[in-house]
Amino acid sequence: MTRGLPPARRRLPAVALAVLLLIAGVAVAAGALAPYPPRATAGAPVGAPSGAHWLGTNDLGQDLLSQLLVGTRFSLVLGAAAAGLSTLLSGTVGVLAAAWPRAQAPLVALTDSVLAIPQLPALVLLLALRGPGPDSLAVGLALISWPAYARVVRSQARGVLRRDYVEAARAAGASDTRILRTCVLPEVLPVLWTKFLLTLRWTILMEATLALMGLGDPSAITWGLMLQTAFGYPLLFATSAWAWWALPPALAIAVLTVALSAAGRDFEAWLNPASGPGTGPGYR
Amino acid sequence: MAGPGRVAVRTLALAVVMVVVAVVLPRALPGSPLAAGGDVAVPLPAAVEAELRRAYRLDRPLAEQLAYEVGRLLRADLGRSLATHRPVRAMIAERLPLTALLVGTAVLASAVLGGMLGTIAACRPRAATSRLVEPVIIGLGALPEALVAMLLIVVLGTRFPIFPAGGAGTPFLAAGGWSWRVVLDALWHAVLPILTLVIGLVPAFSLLARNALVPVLAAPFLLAARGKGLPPARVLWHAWRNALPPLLTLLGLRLAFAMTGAALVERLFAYPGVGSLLFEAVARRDYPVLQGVFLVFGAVMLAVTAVLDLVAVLLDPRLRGDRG
Amino acid sequence: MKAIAVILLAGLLTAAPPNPTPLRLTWWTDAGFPTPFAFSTLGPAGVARLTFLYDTLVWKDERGLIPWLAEGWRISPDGATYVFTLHPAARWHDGRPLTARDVRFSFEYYRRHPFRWVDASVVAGVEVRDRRTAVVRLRRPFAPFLETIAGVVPIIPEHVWSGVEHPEREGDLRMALGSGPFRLADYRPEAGAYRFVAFPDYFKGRPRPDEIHYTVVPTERQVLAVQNGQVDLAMATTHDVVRAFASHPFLRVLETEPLSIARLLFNLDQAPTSARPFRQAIAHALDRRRLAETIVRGPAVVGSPGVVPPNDPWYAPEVRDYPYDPAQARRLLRDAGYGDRDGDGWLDDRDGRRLEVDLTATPVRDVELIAAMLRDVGLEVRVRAVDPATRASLAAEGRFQMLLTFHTGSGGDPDYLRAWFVGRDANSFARGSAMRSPSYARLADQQLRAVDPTLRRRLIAEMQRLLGEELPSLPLYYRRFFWIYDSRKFSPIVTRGGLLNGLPLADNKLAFLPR
Repeated sequence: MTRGLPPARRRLPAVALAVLLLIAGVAVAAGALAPYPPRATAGAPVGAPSGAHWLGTNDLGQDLLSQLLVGTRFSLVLGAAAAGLSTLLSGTVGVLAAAWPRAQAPLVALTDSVLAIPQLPALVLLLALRGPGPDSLAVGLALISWPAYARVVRSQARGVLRRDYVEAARAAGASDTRILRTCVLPEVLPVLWTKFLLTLRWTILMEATLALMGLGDPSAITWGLMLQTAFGYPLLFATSAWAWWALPPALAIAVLTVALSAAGRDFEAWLNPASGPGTGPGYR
Repeated sequence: MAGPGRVAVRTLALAVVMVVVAVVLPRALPGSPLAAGGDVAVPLPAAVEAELRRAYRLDRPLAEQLAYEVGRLLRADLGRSLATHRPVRAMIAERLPLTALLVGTAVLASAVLGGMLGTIAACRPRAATSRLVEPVIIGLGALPEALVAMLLIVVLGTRFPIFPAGGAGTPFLAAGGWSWRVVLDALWHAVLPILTLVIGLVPAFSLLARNALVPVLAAPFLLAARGKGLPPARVLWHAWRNALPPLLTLLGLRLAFAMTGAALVERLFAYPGVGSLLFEAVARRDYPVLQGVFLVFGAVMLAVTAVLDLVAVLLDPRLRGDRG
Repeated sequence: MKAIAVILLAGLLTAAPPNPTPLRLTWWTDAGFPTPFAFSTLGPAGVARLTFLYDTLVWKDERGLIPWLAEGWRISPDGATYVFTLHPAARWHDGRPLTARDVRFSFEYYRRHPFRWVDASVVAGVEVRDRRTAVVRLRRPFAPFLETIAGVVPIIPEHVWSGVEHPEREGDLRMALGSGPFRLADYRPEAGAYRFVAFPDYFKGRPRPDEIHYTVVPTERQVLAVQNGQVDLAMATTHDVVRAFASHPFLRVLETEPLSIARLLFNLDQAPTSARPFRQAIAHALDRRRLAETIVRGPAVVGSPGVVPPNDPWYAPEVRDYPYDPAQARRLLRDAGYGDRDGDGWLDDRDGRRLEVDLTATPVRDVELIAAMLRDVGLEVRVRAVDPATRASLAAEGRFQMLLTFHTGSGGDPDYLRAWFVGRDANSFARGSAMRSPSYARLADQQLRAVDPTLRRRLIAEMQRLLGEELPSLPLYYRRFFWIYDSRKFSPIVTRGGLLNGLPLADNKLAFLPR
């Protein structure tokens, strides 16, 4: 199945998957693992790492290790919500546009319009409109990230619907929903999985980006917000503070996104070895 | 319907959508350009506020504003900024070349660099370069752009100040007239922002090139060519010709996305491009400027997608007629 | 590769500071074209930039008001007429003398094309008695006139602006002609870069240095930039920079007066914040000292419920204080009818519904601490995080219960006690958080007319007392700005009551003049 790829690459998904599982485990157990409640004033402000605080404390005296652990959960939940919603939209719009002739023109037009609106500006406006909050962030990210894969799903579903056995099933009196469920969905689902993984990666990056720009949701604890408060400290790079305050969340983001793109890319390659990764809209 | 005609109709329809979005969206934002959240408690004097409200038609209903703005756009007039009172066209015109410099150089450099790395990876998958360089590139590309930018600023711009950490040029260097120093100074200031963009862009190009080349290199016609004893360089040349179209598509899309995506990089480097203008305009709720920037971004996106669609249609006869 | 090497080499050549003489000052945004009609009103940078190009009738140094364009002035006994005698040597950058006619023209022109920073409409007219004597007549006695108008409103040249119909659209460098110590030699709007060169014939003496550049440095990089010698002045808002630079060979830190105030505004039109005991309970529930010292990371000036900061000459010590006392807060809330009826730890109202209160703010660190302190007394806080422009309009429309705001101006002439709490300005800043009592409005008006300083002091003290009783807003703390500067290049000064009126800026033009 991994034709054309050197053997070394075949091991990557196992590693990536293991890393993802580990991170998910941390997210689930964050409450138990964290030595302090993440918001509690647990020590002196801006304290260097010590036995009591392995990663030191931030400007409000909150334990950074606890924030990093709990941040895993917020980052993942937010990312999963946005990616899930986005995937659902891609799938629904794509399948509907393929299966329902009347909806085709308006849905294709909608897809193209959203695709043509510049992403970052639209997101900035959207967030200003609704105010930063976990829900508006997730909705906003989903709203701008669905169209690319809606196109992919649509062309794939159209291909399926034209096949002989589908025609035969229809002639035999199978209902539309039945055809969608038994014939189209199984073909489309793997694409949607890839889409989910890659969008999850993208949302985590965007969350960090928006947080760094001051557009994050301040009521949550995420890696992006940890970075933002760290960069708000004027002496971050004048002292060793960067090493224990800014570096851990940055590394966490990097590890998670690398693992996600490795997993997603492998999925894509597995699905379509000829075109390979990077050609699809996976990078959105 | 014939392919090119379809592309034209689609582009026109999208342009209309875009104009409406560009005019309505900024005005739908909460907040007002007259109370834009500055850190002073005493607002604009009443007379100033009344004058601005009237001059910029903020007192009219939205539909009337939309009609007025569309009429003005048809005369190729983008209006004046509510904050600086300068013509929006001039504000965008002085920044567009800077954004184009950043994005154009970054995308081209990434395409070349990524193409090279992808070729090496495709031809010699076991070579040390492919096995070591690629994971590093992918790892770097997986970092948030903002973080990469900040690290570059701190390490190369501040700790070891080899490159300027912000701005598009040494202030007032151009005052003495244009010279090679001015040009080099501008390039010098663009190094770090371009580097940030390149780090994010190279993995996509490298992977694409590799994956486009791998199947082509294994394709029967190339095996035949190799069997005939064609030198490896020629084989590669043939492979490249077949791998080029997807690379060009990605190039165009990246160019369009990077135009708007560079906004963040511009802001972090205090680089006065169109993107940083967008952030300033959002903060000030400067409707005319927001509108103008949106239209420019939209036009770039539309132009690139239209050209790509046309090229696809012209290159591939199968796509003519019913497509998409 | 070769091309890169060439660029690297060339960069090394150009990256060397081209000319060490200009003083390099910074801000983090563009400040607009520096005329009284086009400067940026978002933040204090624009109006501060004007002071290099233009002069005002009076000015301020470390100790307070000093003569400037006006060598001297007399005030009529009723406080409604000011006779200014202009300095004989004052002249415009083009060499023409600055006369009383320009003073008259300025105020007349501002009536049609208002100055964007302060409302000067209290000036009824200016009479030119002779070349050097201008008689300014006010519509009514106006005690803060010298500090808030004569010391702020730039005098503009008649021969430049006469006949100009859209002054805000003028962007030609020649239009920025003033009488100030520096001329505008260049302005790059896209980069927010200004080049000022000394005006050698300045009437207060030749300014030093010969050239000042302003460039944009983002806030998060200000300290790094001055540390690396890329600029000569940078700003921070936390006290830790004082310690960080205490033993630096040449970088010094200048602390301004505590001119920036953090306030928690209450909406008096909505329950529960409309009830005074509720507001007082919040005041007792907040440990304002801990909040301030955490945020400022060092010694802090804790908010006085009377709004005027404790170190200010206008401060009234008799203002009621609300010490940190969670038990007292709970008592007040219980007396107001809120109690934990279902035993879940949260306060409920009389119908058993959980008491929730909105806190609207931009994403700042304070919010987390405030919400935690209020939750400690059983008050559920719903944080609404918005961007500054949204906060401004929510405040102006009265769509908030509690709203956290930071702004400058808590210093200088105490007329801000009127502007912030009664009348049009107060309402367009925060509808619903103004003073309702007619007696406060009466005091606000009386202090405006009070020519006698002792009388005015008594009125201002009474206003502070009422503010402390009523608590339309709770001052949490005051901030100083910390300016890190290269002491080898210049020595900025702390202006009494803030630059112009209440601005915590270090770039007073006096620092560049012989003294």
